[in-house]
Amino acid sequence: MSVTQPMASVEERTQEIERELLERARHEHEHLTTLNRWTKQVLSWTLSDPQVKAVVLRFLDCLPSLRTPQAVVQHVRDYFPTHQRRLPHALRLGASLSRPGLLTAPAAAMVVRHVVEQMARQFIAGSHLHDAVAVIRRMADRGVLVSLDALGEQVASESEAEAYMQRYLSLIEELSVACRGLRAPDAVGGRPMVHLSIKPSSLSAHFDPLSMEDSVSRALDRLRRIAQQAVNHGAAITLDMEQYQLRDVTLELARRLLCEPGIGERLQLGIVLQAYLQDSESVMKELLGWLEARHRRLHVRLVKGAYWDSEIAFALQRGWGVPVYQRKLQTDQSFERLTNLVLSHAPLVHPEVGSHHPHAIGYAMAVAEAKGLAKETVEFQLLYGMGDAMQGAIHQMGYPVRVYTPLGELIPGMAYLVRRILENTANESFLRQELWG
Amino acid sequence: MTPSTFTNEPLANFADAAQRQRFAQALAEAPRIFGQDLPCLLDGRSVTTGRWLDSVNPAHPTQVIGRVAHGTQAEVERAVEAARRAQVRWGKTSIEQRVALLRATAEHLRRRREWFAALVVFEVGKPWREADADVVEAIDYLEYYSVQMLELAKGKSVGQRPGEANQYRYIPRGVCAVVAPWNFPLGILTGMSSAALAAGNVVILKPAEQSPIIAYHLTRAFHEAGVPPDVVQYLPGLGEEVGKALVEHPHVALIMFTGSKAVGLSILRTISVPVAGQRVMKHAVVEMGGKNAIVIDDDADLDEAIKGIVTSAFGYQGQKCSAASRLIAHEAVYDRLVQRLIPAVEGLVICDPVEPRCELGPLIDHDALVRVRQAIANGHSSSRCLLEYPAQRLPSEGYFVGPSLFADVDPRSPLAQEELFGPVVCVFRVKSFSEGIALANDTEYGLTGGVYSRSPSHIQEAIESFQVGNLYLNRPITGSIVGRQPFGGYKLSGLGTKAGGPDYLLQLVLPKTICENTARHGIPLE
Repeated sequence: MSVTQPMASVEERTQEIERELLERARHEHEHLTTLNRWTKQVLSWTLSDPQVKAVVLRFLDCLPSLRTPQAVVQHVRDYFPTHQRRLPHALRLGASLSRPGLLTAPAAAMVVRHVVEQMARQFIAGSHLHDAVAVIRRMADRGVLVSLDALGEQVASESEAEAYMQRYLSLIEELSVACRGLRAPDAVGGRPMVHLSIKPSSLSAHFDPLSMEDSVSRALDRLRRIAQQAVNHGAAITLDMEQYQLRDVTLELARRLLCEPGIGERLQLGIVLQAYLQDSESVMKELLGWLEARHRRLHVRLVKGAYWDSEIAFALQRGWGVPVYQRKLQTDQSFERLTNLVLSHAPLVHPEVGSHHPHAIGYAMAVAEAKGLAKETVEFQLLYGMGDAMQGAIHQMGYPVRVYTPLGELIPGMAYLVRRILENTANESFLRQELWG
Repeated sequence: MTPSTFTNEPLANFADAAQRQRFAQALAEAPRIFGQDLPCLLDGRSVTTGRWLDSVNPAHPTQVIGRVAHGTQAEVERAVEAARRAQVRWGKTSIEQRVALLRATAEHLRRRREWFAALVVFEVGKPWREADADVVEAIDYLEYYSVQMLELAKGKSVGQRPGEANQYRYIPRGVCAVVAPWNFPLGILTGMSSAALAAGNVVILKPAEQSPIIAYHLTRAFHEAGVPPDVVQYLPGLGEEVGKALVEHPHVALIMFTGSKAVGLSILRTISVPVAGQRVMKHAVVEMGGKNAIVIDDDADLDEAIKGIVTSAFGYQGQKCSAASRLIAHEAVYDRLVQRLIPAVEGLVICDPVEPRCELGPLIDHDALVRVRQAIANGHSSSRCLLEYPAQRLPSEGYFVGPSLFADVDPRSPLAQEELFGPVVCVFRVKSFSEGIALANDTEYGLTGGVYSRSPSHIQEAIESFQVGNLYLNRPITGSIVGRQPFGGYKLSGLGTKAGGPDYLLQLVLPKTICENTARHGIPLE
């Protein structure tokens, strides 16, 4: 039983660690080009003007669906009229070049596509198995683990859900084979190299909280097979958390999987806790009670939450209370409370702290120290293409690091990309500090 | 103090276990009131006529929800006579008082919201979310028209000169017959009657033959909230008998109708010729059908489009006047769209709507079943069937029909032109967005329409050229919300009135000008 130190000293220690992290990250940063030139250009520019930011994001969202150079040029004209002086350099180029007689449409379209593909490649690893293997190897060299997220279209039918399942099954199998003999990074505490993050909505076209029973049983039919595959290969899976509407049905799916004979006691299963939800704390407490009673363990990834804008719009359109905290400070405080809660219940839960924010990371480390937790019991998770320097810094401090890595084509990846950009052009984002710092 | 702004009633949140539980409980308890004999409610009295009409559960046609007394010509006379007397009082009742009674009715529905929604599930076969939205819409109308009437009561400003005082204000039209459809058995019925009542007109409710039980309980709700029983009367019966008699009656001044084009047009014809004893030009608000199209552009987000199409075309089995029955896809996305859409539709869960997993319930009645089956059979012979739902997956009893998709449909054929009110969709391939809009417009209707596109210039083109009363961009084309998406079409879909919109009440009142000479002898000007 560890002795909990007073909060004041945790805060003091947090700041100490935060300084150390930033120092190490700065040092790491010199050896990395975290953001390529184009990404930096477009991101830094979108930061400055919310109205233009919206236009750029809408354009990015649409670009992959354009099949011909003419279509690209027409859309550039539509979205970025030449009289619009506030365009990013690259896109302004595209717009002025697309005027008749200056440059051929194919050339102009190529410029635009190149810019956006460069940016997408910053955040998305690629679409093939060898891309995934390459990322796992590259990360392992740096002492960092990977969790793969198979990007794709939303599931519209059961046959599409079936295809996702097949993709998960073969990813687990083929990656396990490919990673055999790969040396696990230090200080990871026997953590699996092959780790998938799965969107529950990809498991069934009928994943609807209204029909909880039917939704769970349809998704469970596929998840059970994926889980069995993971158990057979010593891989691990985490159920990603999507919209608030799907939160309870996702947790029910996790509980039901943990009750499956032959799987529940052997599978390394993770769920995600979103700090921006006002009821995350009570939901987590309830889940802790359930785990204790059932003698099951669970990995819990603590994140801020990535659907803030759409959660607010969704709730307000229906006349419901907004489920998320509306002030960033409240979310930060919630993140700290949940850090405490989750770390207090190790090893019933395996804590995974998903944050790029040095203060949040430092806080988790300070709490872990205060509770006397071994470093290898607290995993830190960051997003692919963001804060590579921070990954290195955390690794150097002796904690396990896992990088959430989307795998996929540009079209289905664009929604992911837009979400990342939205998140990172929000005020006070870590990326912003990195950009300007 | 009464609020002067309108807020939509929240929809049920079925992600909340407690709300699911309440709904399930209401469904379990609803059958307690089944099987009763319900009278006409005329002039404060319960009236039976010796003729009865069964209302049955379309998912289990042997289950009788209730029996209602059928009105005849005699009951129409009696109702209109009582209504004429009541009109004198109701027209003079202060607007604040009228509004208070409407709001009390809204409160009544709010308190029994799950109970009413359960009744909607049983009597017309709506799945949970649709049934809940029906009740919410009813509450919204009561509140919305209250606020609108308080605003309208202020009149409009007109020019003034010294020595004369000019007023421009609104007065009620008079006795109103509300002839309602079954597809929004609570929402539309409440919408039409609450608007008429707010405007100062007394109402005779003639519900659809398929949903008289819900209408009975709505009438009771009005009365229990304090609306005098002669101000809202309940007169079920056959459309061609009671409906027709009401429309033709010399003392019915206002007809509010939502339903088929044939009936709507015949109402307009009828009222254009005054009958003996008639001392007022009748006015009608008619909302008719649609043959609504969704245009899918080459840069559309197909994930969103497929979800939106399924919702728009198959929500409540396609039995909404706003439902999509034509898909018009750009050739660049046509194959991919159809390839993804077919299994999505094929996987829809068809079952008794009391089950929460239900995505498609039954059609409303046997006639509808025969009509839709016939249309599907015709489709098979005249065009290419992309999807026929396996019959063995349909429930063995009830008026269920599987969703169908047809391609290679002749744009001039009945399948492409006539409103069917069922889960049947024609898919067209076009070479350009402009061709898509032109094809979408090639119908006599103009109610709702949708576009999935991410091209700003195409969206602008749709805004300017798509001939519909309600245009939806990158979202489903059904589910309009009171006060936010005022609803109604033009062309042969309607006269341009917008239910749940800021101009609606103007249809239900008459403007009156008052000019007084204030410069009498010896009295100085102000």
